[in-house]
Amino acid sequence: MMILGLFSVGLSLVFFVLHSLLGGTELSASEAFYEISFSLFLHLLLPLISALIGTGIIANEVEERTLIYLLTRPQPKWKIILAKTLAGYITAGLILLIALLATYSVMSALAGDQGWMTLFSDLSRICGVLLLGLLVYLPLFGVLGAFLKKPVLAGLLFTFGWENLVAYIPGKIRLFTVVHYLHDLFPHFRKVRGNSETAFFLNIFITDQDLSTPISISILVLLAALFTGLLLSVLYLREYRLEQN
Amino acid sequence: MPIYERSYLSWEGQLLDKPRTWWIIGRTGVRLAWKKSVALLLILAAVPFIFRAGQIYLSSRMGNTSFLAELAEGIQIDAGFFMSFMKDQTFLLLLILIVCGAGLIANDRKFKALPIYFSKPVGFWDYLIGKFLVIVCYGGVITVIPAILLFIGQILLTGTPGYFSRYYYVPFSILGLGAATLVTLGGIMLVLSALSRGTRSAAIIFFALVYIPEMLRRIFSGMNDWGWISIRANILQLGAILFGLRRPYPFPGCLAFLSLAVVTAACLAVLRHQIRPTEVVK
Amino acid sequence: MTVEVKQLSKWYGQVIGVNHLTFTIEPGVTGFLGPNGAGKTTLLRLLTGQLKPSQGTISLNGEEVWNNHRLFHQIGYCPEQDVFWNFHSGWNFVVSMLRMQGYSREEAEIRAEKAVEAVGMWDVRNNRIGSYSKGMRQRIKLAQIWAHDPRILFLDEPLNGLDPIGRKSAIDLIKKMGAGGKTVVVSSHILHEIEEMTDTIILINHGRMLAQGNIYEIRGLIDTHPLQVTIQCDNVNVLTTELLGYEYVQSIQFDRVQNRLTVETNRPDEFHLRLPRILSENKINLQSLWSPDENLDAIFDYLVR
Repeated sequence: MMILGLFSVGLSLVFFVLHSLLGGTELSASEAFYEISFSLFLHLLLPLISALIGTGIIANEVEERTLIYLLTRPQPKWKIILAKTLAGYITAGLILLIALLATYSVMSALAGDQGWMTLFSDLSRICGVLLLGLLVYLPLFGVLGAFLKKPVLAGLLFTFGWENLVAYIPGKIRLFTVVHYLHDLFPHFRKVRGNSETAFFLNIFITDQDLSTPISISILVLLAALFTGLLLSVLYLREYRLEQN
Repeated sequence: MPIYERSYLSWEGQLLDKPRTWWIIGRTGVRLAWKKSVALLLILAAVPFIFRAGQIYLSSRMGNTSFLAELAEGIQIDAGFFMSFMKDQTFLLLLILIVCGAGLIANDRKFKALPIYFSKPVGFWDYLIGKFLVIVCYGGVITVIPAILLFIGQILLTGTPGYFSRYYYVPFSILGLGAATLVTLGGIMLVLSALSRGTRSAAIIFFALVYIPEMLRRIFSGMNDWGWISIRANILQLGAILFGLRRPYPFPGCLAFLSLAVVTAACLAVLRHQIRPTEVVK
Repeated sequence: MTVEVKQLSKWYGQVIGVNHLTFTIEPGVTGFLGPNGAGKTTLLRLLTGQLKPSQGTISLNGEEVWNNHRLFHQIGYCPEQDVFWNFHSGWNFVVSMLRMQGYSREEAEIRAEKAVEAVGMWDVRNNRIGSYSKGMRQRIKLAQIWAHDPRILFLDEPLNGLDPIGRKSAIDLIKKMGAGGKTVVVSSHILHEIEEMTDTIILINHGRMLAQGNIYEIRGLIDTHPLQVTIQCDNVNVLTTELLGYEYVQSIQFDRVQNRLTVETNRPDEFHLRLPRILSENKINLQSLWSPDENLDAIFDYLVR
């Protein structure tokens, strides 16, 4: 997982350095940071890391059959899952934040003073959006991992299939995605003005802000509560017949 | 008093000099993969095929410029049509590779099956080819085979020899692009499967390895010379050359080929190192 | 601590795990004996609250087990499967299991020390579990159950993979715990293994309880159950004629081509005593002798019939 974070940060920086050296002009450094945080972090790393950790919360213990040890401890089942979810949340959150902050620091240091400090409040907001996204995606994938045999497949189909597909469909159907509320909270998304291929896609993804910030946050918190509640009750709802050999 | 051991009887038949163990490994893998929701993905993958077949039908009946054909994207049924079909199948191909490929070696390592394989007359190449056969089988079913079928359909529907003589190279291009895609992506999937004991982490890292460079290439689209860093861009570049189309990226075609060859060679080297009958735990 | 099981059934869809079991287990060592797939592991999982009974009740000292995590302070469970978090060292595994029981770190370490030493794993305690041999893994699994001094222990095939010395010390420890007033339930498919630990057994097959009680009474049943013995010798005609005269021989199958006969006897002990005399008196050379059904499955089949 750490490799995933390092790989993306490393590659982003390599691209950025090469871009600066080769004199790419279409994209300023700050615009590049916005695009990286939006496309790479929000759209790729957040769902991938959530899927990796979330689907494993229960499924790992079931596959490795170590659930036996957990279920015979004098702890309520919900507490065991909550502890595992929290551990997963902290791990995933740290990886995402460290990777984002590393990208920000190195890019701002390399680009020199280009008004990076003004981006600082946006940076905190991006961190908040990622953590909020994690709060929803992690238990969602946890539930998928608890009930499905192929949770990763379902998760990838949901995030990269459904959520991306719906972005192109006009109307209110996009309200049935998680990423829509995260888009609403993403800071100054209109700042993405480059001529890059992603700028084209971003303009399709992001329409006018549908909902106010408090409403988006409330909906995300509600979704997080719903998925977390479902995840915590999994061991009460479902009985695992672990393989014997 | 003599006591005789009676529990073992020798088999008097003739053993094959070179048993086709790779075929047995591959066939078993294909059967096992079939049980893992592959059918659902194959059904999903059939949707674009049916759509494209509809386009071919409409264009053959109405001509490329007719209203209906325009409705069906106003598309020319040329080499680019087949290339575009294969390009569109990439997402589903990744999912198929994840479902079929993530556990191919990981499960053998997890359940300590490698010593059993290698205690039989199975060599590294038998094992690898057997596993790769699974990837080729399901990957081919959603890329190469439907593309060839579409080409045959187009020839049968147009019924003119001119089309075939103009695009005779397309089946070879389909095969070439299919081979390049499956060898590279399949190789990466097998490597991740060999490096990891969990199928989920192999699946997600595979997805990340393919998409992160591609996403960064898109972000920094002003520096497309460096697009060869993305596997997907390399495959598309190579595909454009094979199909005789305009290259989508400014970097040289040989660089795309070289890049894919290096990835494949690196995969082979890692697989050679990882696929061993015994494993030392420190 | 008393275990009371009443009308217990567990089924998975159409498959029956255990069927209509009623028994009581008192302090001391009790053995669950049955062939592979008999339902022993399912029963132990039900008794340890991992599975919910489809029907019936299980209580430990009058308290229901299912969804009663407080009761788990008093339970120690050693699973049959060779499963671990392989990234842990043996030491960390035992300590974290104790921490999950609710002990402070200091107390957990003190208890872990005793338990790890008791199973002879002290020298390798800091190695990764992934590097342990099967016997070592089994021993560390045993350490985690007695480390928190439970009042009732459920051990699923606890001697699996242990070497003779390990087996002896595990058996001694189990017997000591039973003698010390703990309730110890041990499952196994090997009769003599159970015999070494206890006289009290519960026989299980196909999810049903076949017998409960003293092992010697059940032995008695085994000794009188019909047994097939296949004999290969140089003169099957004479041997067959001789054996036909004995009342404890129930039937004989005769194969002249292979010089072989299969005898079914309802008194195997008597038969085995007499056979050498018959052979020597008639100067018959015995080439081989074996019993196709001298195993637990055959005994269970007999008891089921």
